[in-house]
Amino acid sequence: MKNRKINIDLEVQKTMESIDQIQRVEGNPFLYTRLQEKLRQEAEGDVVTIHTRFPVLQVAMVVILLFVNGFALMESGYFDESTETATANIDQFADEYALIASEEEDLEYLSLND
Amino acid sequence: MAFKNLVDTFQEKVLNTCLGFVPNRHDAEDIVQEVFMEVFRSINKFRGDSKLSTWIYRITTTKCLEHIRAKKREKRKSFFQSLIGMHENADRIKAFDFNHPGILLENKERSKTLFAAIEKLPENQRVAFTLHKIEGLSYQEITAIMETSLSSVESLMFRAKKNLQKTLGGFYKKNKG
Repeated sequence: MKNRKINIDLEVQKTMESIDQIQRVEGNPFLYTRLQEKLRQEAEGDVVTIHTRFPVLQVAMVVILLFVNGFALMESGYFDESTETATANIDQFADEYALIASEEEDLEYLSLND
Repeated sequence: MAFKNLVDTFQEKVLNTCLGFVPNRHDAEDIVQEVFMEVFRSINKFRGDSKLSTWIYRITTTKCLEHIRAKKREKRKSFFQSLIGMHENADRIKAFDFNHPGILLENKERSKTLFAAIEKLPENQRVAFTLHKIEGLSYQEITAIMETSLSSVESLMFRAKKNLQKTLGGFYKKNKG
């Protein structure tokens, strides 16, 4: 019984001492290269993660863009009689460059060609 | 360039500390990368109150403990999965993944037993014991890393040794008796 206790104590002691025989391990020579690659990926990922991690942000951005577009269109008067405005603009343009021929001018043109 | 010097200076210390907590080269190297990424990200937060080595050891210890906790969670999860019949993940996790490259073959079994006993220690005892006995740090350095008093470190070391002797005694009584 006593011998068994001594044996166990000896085993425990040997096991506790085995820690002193652990040898130092050398580092990985490619660690820095791997870290550089990870940092590069992380830097690239930052831009992507804003979109992928926060879908709420994406939705908010779309809503803001739609709102700004709508506001800009409203301000430009696009919705206020837009057809009339467009026709008026064409008429004004044609008038300015004398693109509308009068009946007299048409006749004059025809007589010259005869 | 300064970061490269820092990596070159500390990588061996960080790796050996990681191996002390996680005796598996693959996992330890992953943690080393995490440690240096953290160092790079938060170097601006280093105020110089403590030594740079103390700060890096503190990050290393934290990362190792996080890794150990994550592994434990994974084990618990796989245990419950095995209980309800989902065996897929249960087989993936081995009981104790031991692959320390600094241990000679003739000491492997004994060291494996010791590391299994260290794994059972409470966290703070495990940190103090690993930093002192494996990394060879002084009590004073451990005091700075753990941000505690010298007497606390002494007490942690005393209790860690006692607990290890008790666990190992029980193990040998069961296996050699």
